[in-house]
Amino acid sequence: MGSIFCGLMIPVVLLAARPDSLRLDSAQQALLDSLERMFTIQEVVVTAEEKIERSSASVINKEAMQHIQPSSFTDILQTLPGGTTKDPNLTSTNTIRLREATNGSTSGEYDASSLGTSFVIDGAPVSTDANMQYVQSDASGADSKRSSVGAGVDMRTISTDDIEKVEIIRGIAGAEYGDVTSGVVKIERTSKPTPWRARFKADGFSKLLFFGKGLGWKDEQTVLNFGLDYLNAKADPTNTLENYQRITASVRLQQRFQISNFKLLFQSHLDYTGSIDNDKIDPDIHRNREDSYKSEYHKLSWNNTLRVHQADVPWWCFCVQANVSGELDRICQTRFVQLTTPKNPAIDNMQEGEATVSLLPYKYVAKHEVEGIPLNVFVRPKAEFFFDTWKLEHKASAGIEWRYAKNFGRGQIYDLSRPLNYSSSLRPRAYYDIPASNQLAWYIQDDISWPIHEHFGLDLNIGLRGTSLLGLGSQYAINGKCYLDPRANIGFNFPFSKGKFYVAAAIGQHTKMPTLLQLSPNLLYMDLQATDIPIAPTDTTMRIYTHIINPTNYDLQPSRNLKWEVRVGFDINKHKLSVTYFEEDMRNAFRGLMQVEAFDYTISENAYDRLLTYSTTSNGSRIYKQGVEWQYQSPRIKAICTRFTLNGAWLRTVYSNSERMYSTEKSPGVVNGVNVQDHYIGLYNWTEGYIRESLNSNLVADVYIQRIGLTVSATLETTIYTASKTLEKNGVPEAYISSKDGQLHHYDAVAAQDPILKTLIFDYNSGLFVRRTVPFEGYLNLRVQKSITKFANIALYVNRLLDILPDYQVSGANGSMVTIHRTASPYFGMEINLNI
Amino acid sequence: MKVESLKIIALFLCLLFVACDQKDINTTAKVTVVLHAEGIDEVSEIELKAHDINMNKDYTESALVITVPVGYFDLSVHALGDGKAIRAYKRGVKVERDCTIEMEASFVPQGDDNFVLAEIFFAGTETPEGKRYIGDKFFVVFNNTTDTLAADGLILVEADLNSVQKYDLGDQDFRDQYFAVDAMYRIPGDGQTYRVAPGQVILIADNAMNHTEANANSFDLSVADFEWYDVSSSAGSTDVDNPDVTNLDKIYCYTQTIWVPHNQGHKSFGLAHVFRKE
Repeated sequence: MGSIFCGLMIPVVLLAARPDSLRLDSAQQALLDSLERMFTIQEVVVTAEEKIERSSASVINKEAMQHIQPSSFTDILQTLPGGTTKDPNLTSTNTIRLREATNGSTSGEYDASSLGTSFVIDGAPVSTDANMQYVQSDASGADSKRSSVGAGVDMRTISTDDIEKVEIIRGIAGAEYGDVTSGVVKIERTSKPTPWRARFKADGFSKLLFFGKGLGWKDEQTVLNFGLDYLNAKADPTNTLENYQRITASVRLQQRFQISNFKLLFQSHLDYTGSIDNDKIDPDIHRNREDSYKSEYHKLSWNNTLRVHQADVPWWCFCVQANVSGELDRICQTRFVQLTTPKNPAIDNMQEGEATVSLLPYKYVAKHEVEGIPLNVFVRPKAEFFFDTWKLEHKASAGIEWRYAKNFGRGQIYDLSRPLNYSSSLRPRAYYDIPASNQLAWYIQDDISWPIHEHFGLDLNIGLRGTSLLGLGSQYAINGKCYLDPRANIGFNFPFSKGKFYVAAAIGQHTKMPTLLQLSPNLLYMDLQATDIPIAPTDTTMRIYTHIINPTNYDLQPSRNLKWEVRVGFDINKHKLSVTYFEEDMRNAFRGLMQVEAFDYTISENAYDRLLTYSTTSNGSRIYKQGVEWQYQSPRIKAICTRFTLNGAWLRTVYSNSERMYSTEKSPGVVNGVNVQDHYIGLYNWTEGYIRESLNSNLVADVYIQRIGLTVSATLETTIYTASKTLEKNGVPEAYISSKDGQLHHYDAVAAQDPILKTLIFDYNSGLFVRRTVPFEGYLNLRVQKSITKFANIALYVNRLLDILPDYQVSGANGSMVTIHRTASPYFGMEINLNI
Repeated sequence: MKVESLKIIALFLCLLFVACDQKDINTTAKVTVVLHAEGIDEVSEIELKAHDINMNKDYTESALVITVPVGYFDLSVHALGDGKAIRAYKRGVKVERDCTIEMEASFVPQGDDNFVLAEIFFAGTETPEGKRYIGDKFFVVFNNTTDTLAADGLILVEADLNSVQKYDLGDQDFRDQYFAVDAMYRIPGDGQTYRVAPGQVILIADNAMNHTEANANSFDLSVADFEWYDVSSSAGSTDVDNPDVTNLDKIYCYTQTIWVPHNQGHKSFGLAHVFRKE
């Protein structure tokens, strides 16, 4: 017994030291290999891991990603606390919503949350500020679900096969991360030699194919990785005319070299992403063969990083990063248009004033193109310092960042006399006329570690970031102003023999600058009747008056989010538990709000006045997130080779407005011969929005048997309840604007009696504000991975193999109770991986 | 003959005695009608008609009892209740044996001093390419009397309340006394201008023009007698005015742009009972 023990001890020591020159005999080598395997079994994690240092973050490594068998980045989010398994939906845009209730908002007014999540790929953030790909004037067509303007990154375009590790910072990100309000997704891609890898995946609606290889020379001084990925997805497998295709290609070079005593690491990554959405009408079924929609994004990104440090001077390190990314985006939509009423104008004048326009033909084919050519540049030099002051260890860092975004495309391209949507009065505008966005930022941060005592240590991370937007012109309030983001993390850890306890708290301010389109929106053209001579059936022209409004909000501020959180947890004998309570409040999130302008005009020497309404980007949304997240991970129990992970979250999100709003929601039409909406609009100081709440917990049991190369995981996903409630609205206006003078008037008791003004009071049924709860739902998901030989493995997953969906009752009309019966159907996928 | 073949013949002979049991099938039945006429004291001059759907034959009786062959019938009762005409109808009555049928009587609109709405075309038409066209909506008003009537002052109204929605108006429910409207268009004139002979119609169109240019499946409404024209506040949706067709006087309409009757007929229409008899 003792000799075996001694025999074990020696290889352990050898494992720790392992200099290259040690030679072992075959028995020792075999013992060493089996010991290594034993140690690494513990390290195989197929779920997200909670990071203990700094703020709450989830780390998903390569094994976990392969186990999830993702089609795109969206699938990885299901491993986060509060994450639920969703079937891939690859024919609509996928935007990320961190820490929001699972039945959360899908309204465009709260897109600031996904806009404010920063995706950082190999140190370079992905910028969507210059994304203007949307079909103007077609709010509900094929484009509306595929456009992600102002909503951040479309996660469908991120392929996962080249990713080595993902870290999702849900809490307070360090000061080096900027232009962010919600969280940071850090993606690190594979940069080491690998065998030839191929992956083919098929599931209910898509097929994916990937090839990749990593080559190394001179003992990994030079490493070249490349990968090629193709995905083809459909909304309905029987309809090949609505589909999504993604092609990504990536070449990554890493070179280490030495110049005198400076050690340099140079990385250069070249990436191509092509993303194509297609939607055509089946010519055999529908009579309008002309209707079609195609949206293409072709992006080329070149990311370079240079890291320098001196061989025998370990206290500093310098790094500079430069990323250039350009896209060629095109949307092409064709539609057969039939006029529903006889006479409609073909409005093609672009000047203010009266114009004679021709009338549209009764039927025509409209062709609409949107061309965008965004260019994004990111440059960041930074320096890192490692030093000790007294007993404190410091890892300080400081840097400067420059971000440039501009769109060189021609914008909406179409024949104004044959528009896609003839009841819209928008006009095209070249995107290259929009001024570029120049963001300059600096940051300093210090990571301090103070092991005060054997059983007590302190970790402190403080940072300060300043961001400003330059070059906009002095009429913008935001121009040149520096917005400071202080961020701090403090953690107390109590190590002892078996592990450690910790308590941590973090607080930070985050800022996101507005996008190009929010800063410089399109001019608005209000087309009004110019004459009171009616149109006769034989007329071929019409006289209109066009009034141009500039809806630019020069007072637009960046959206800022104040986040704080408190965490407790322990790591004892590899049992890890972490519980976090967080609150985030963003009171000036971007949102379109109605503006009103009073306008005077004359027709045939008669003077008229009326109100014109339009929408402009303002800081009018409030997104308040609150919740508790927990994650428990057990060690792998050797007897059954199983590890248990329990994670979950209680999330409560309040979405509402944060400014007074004009509204014509319940406008009464004509009262006493007066078109009320043309002359009086109320300004309401109310809360319009909703609360979403969800409590869910996932229990994962994963079995890893290395001997036979089998990994099986069963997830019991339970959502204890989800609830939603519309916020109470007080429909009495605080003020109203009158078209006679264009001024706001206080809405007092006198106004409430006036027969016209009293219609501005909106009535809401109290049943609208009842909290609605959906009770328990539970699913069992299964994933299996099996290696066939050393070179291949196959994997299979089933979502919702079993479901537990009890019926529940809601109150229906007339106080009766309605029983809701839910069903779910499973979703399958399979893949095969080759490693040669 | 052998004994076996004798047995077989005996077996076959037994078949002769096997026959269907003649059930009692009714050929005729007596139908008694119980007429519910609320608020009516005396019912007289009854005519009960039973229309055999399958055989397409009618049976009449001047009492509330009738004997008919067995089958499927539409029943109708024409009578006088307190001197006024009343009717009762029931369709698809299955008569297999003597039975009693309950029928509700209601007053017949007199129809002898009124215009009626003969046709309400609210749906619009479909173009040859399968798209929708809504510019060709119209109403047809019919002179249902035996006198020549003047249409001057006749008001076409649209109901404010939606027919497919349930309204819980509580104690403010006015619907047994009033009809809430959201559109009122009146035929102009001084009282004798637009005279309609008995059995003639008035065509009121949204746009009195030839719609076949816009939609080959539509019709030519330039022959309309009247059209309604709205001054729209938006350049994008404008109304058309045929100078050769008289416009209705717009008393009130809820919309700021153009009035188009609901595509799926969710609104009721009426004629305001303003008339002069010649």
